[in-house]
Amino acid sequence: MQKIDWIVLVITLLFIVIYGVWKTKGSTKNVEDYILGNNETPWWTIGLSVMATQASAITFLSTPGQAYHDGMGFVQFYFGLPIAMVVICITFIPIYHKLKVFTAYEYLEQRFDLKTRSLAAILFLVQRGLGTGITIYAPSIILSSILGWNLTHLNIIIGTLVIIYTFSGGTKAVNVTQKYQMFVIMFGMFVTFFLILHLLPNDMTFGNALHIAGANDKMNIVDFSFDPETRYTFWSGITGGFFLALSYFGTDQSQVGRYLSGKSVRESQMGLIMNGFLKVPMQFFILLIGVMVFVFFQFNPVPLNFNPNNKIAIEKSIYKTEYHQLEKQLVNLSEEKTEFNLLYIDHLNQNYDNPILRRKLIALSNKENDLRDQAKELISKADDKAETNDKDYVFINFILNYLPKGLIGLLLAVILSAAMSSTASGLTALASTTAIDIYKRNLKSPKSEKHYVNATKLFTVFWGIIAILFACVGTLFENLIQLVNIVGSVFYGTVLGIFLVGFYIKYIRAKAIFWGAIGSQITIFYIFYLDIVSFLWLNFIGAVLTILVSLFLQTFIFRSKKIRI
Amino acid sequence: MNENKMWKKNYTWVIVANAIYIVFYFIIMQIFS
Repeated sequence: MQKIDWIVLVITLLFIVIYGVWKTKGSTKNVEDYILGNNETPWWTIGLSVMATQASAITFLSTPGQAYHDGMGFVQFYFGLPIAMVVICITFIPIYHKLKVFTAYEYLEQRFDLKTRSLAAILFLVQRGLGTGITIYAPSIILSSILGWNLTHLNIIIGTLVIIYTFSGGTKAVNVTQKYQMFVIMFGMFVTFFLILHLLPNDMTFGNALHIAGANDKMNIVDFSFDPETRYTFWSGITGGFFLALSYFGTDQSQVGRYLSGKSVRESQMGLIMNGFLKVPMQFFILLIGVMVFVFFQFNPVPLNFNPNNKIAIEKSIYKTEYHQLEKQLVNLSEEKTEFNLLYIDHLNQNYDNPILRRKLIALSNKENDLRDQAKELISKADDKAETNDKDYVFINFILNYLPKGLIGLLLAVILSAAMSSTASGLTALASTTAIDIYKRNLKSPKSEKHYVNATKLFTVFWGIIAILFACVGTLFENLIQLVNIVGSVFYGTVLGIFLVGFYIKYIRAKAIFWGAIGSQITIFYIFYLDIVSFLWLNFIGAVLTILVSLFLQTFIFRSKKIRI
Repeated sequence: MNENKMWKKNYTWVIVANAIYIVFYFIIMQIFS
């Protein structure tokens, strides 16, 4: 990294922190100011804030790499999201606003009872507490291994920057900073996209680049098949993606907190509608960047595995010579591919989409995949703990080796801004849930507004320190990111089930939902232990089980004489 | 137009817009792959 990159990176990040503190100075007099941003947030800020919360650093590191290896099919995972936005706008938001809640879980006490509220709040705290640590850890481990930065220092810097403005201005600071973080993120991604196009061979148009991506099997965007072996299809996106989005945006306080800060019901709804309009194209665009990086590497030297740590592990092992042979084969193969790609473009420029050349390109792509698989096997033999999947390293490798001076700093600012925006939402959500659902609710005598503001601020620092500590010990656990995703899916379904029953099935009462949720959660643990379905489906199963078990308990065990309609 | 009707229209537009995106992606896929 050059001096100019450091200047761009440091100025961008410091500007965001200072702006967040300055803009919210003296505006947190009571809990409503601190947790709900005094209900002053306009819809477009809510929309940007919701999008910035969901877009973590991993979104920008991992998604282009996913497209590089597997094509654009991942976009289907977001197809259920707009439907979930509509459901939340119609049902969830009006109820939250009507009851004037600070957190989503507060609603559960009004609808059911204290123990159901506490159960949902505790499930959230466990899951989001781990998740917030990961939003710091995941980019830190990648950046530290690529740039040689100290992992612990990086964790502490990201965490502390977030704590400073979140502590100072609460939800309002999170909202105003996320606006600029989203601006930096989108600006950086657009500049990168156009720069990649500029770096492609001279006579290649954007259309030709897409043809090359298609000939290499990367333009498989929509898949209508019912094959259960295929993870991302139109159907799994519409169903699994819908339930996941409903849980995440409807019941996760890190998202609920964003739209509860809206000026009115309409402003909150408009914020989510904005997300419903923009999320799928945004995800498509990030994947398209990954596909363009793939096209770029068809004409430039490409590593056998993008993770530099794997290369180091191999160089120290007895498989070094074998790996070097594979690298030589890849160089030859890449040269052959470049030739055929150029020939294919030539034909395209003469308006001829040559089917023979397409078949040849697919065959060469398959050969390349075989070489990469063989390399992964060698890496696993050299170090059985090594992460052979290198999708997280593709985009950062491109950024550091091919982007001009200054832009590298901007792209690193994009990645760290994304990490900070998700972490900030996580911290405010954890702090407000701890303060409102656990601390305030269990106090015997009421305290002053100032006391609750200070308590929430203290909880923000507390959770910030926990997140930093968790990120620092992250390397001690294997497959930590996977573990946290699994923890999320294991708990999300039950919490969604509780909320769905609350909103739609008035017949079910407190006792039935509480024991139904406990029963469903135990069953989900058992299903997870048996390992019979992909963990992505646990969310859907958990929600359905909670509804069915509580319905059964209400009908046959806890039958009440009075039925509320 | 009453406010509720207008909001129903907004929700419809979100779904319609996303259906258009999917059709657009499908067409791109047919052209380029």
